[in-house]
Amino acid sequence: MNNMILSINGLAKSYKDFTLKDASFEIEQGTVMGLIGQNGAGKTTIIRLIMNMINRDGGTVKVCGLDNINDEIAVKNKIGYVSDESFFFYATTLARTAKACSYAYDNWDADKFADFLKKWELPEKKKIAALSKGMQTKAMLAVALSHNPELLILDEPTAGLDPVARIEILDLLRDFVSDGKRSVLFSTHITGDLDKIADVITLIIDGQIRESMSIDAIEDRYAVISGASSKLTSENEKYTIGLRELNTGFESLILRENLSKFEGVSVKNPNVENLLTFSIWQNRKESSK
Amino acid sequence: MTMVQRKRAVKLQKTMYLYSKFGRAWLLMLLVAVLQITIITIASIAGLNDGECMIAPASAMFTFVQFLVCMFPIGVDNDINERVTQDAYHGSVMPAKFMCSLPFEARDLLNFKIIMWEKAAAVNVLFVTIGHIISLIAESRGYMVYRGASGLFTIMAIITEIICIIAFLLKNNILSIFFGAFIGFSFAFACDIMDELSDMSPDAMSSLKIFSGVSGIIIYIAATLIIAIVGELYIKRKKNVSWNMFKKG
Repeated sequence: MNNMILSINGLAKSYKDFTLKDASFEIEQGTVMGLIGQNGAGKTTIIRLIMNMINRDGGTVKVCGLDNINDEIAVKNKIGYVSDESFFFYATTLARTAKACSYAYDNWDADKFADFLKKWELPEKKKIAALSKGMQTKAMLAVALSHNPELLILDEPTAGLDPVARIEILDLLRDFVSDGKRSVLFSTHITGDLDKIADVITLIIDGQIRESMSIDAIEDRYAVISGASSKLTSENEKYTIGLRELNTGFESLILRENLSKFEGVSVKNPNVENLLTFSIWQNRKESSK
Repeated sequence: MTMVQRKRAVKLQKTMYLYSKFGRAWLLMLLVAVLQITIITIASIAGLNDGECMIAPASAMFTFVQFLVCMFPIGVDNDINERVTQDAYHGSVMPAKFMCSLPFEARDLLNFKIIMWEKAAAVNVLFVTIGHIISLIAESRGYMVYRGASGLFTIMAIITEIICIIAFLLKNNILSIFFGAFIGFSFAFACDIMDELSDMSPDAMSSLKIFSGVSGIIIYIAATLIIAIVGELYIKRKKNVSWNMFKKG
């Protein structure tokens, strides 16, 4: 489809102790996609494969219809990337980094970068090593946004940030996609952030994409139920996803279509965190069998 | 390398120069060249005191230094295909994530390395040539000069490096070093003999002339080979790159 900013199809990568299998999903223009999964699920591997930081074993990655390897330069001009940890050379300054970027990017906007530095009170001449984690993350964002990318890829950008900085970054992401032409791929553990800004959620567990759906579809498709243990029978237990048995009763995610199998339970709408945690517990249960 | 590729490699060089110590290797190369000409000058002055200009042996001793400076940035990875180079690129001394996020590709890095080599060769030849010119001036003023060795090194440096670069472009590593060194050595040795034959005299210094020329060449080739092999081993160990001498990219 023409309005796809990112199309991933059958992406595969094997390490000694981890395999990413047949990962496929797409991001439309003007959307924020949250990539969620537990530690080691493969989120960062997918992002590194998109950035061609590691060699893929199979599959394709297309950014605005361009192959990320065959058209690597054009693709990287279209991507703004923010890593989970500061990737700048610590001994240098933001001024020098910006100069380096101005040579590298075709569309580098020095004024825009200066505006970000001013807005976020980032010292241009101070060594990057002397900046706080929040400042370093903002600096990465400033670099990522100053070459006018079409796709912003953020690998856990809000981890370790104070609430004010997090909200500012989320506001910025909302502004970024507001023109309906640009998109964000946002990997995070802080699912509350995704509840605020994500349009689409992609869930990855143990190297496999389990779900890729709109955030509204989570509520349409799933429900979280809880109730006394007596309400859980051998008959209806098979419909649970990530069943948690507690002293006071049980809690589980279920497909909304299976609600009729459970009587006398309380039902609430799931959020992104519920989808993530119950899916992980379900996976553990299946793996232990 | 096409002009477009060259432009991209220069772009990468500019980025890396601003960004990393690694990219500043060419500055170090120039500093070494300054050191070299300083030593040549000192050696020349010292030689003049004895009525002889020692320019050739002095330059011979230091022409290989540019290789020392440039071989590591070059990475001695001529035989490595782009995919493997990319691994080296990702595992390099630079903050790899940042460099990989910039709009460059592994081929740019290879081309950048070629440019570095070209610069090394150019500076190398330039300074040997300067030494050669100085020796001619000294000779015209009546000083005894080891001109044979100086001219010989000029030729050898040009031939060796041009052939190495051609072989580099053909992505054949150790072979290129051997080939370049062999051709350079043979040609230079032939020039040296011709030079000595044309200037044949019962001069007691003629054996020293040959010795200075040949020993300089041997030092040059040995240093190049040692650096190439050590560099290759370094890459194999650090970057998990296969050591295949004749592997095509």
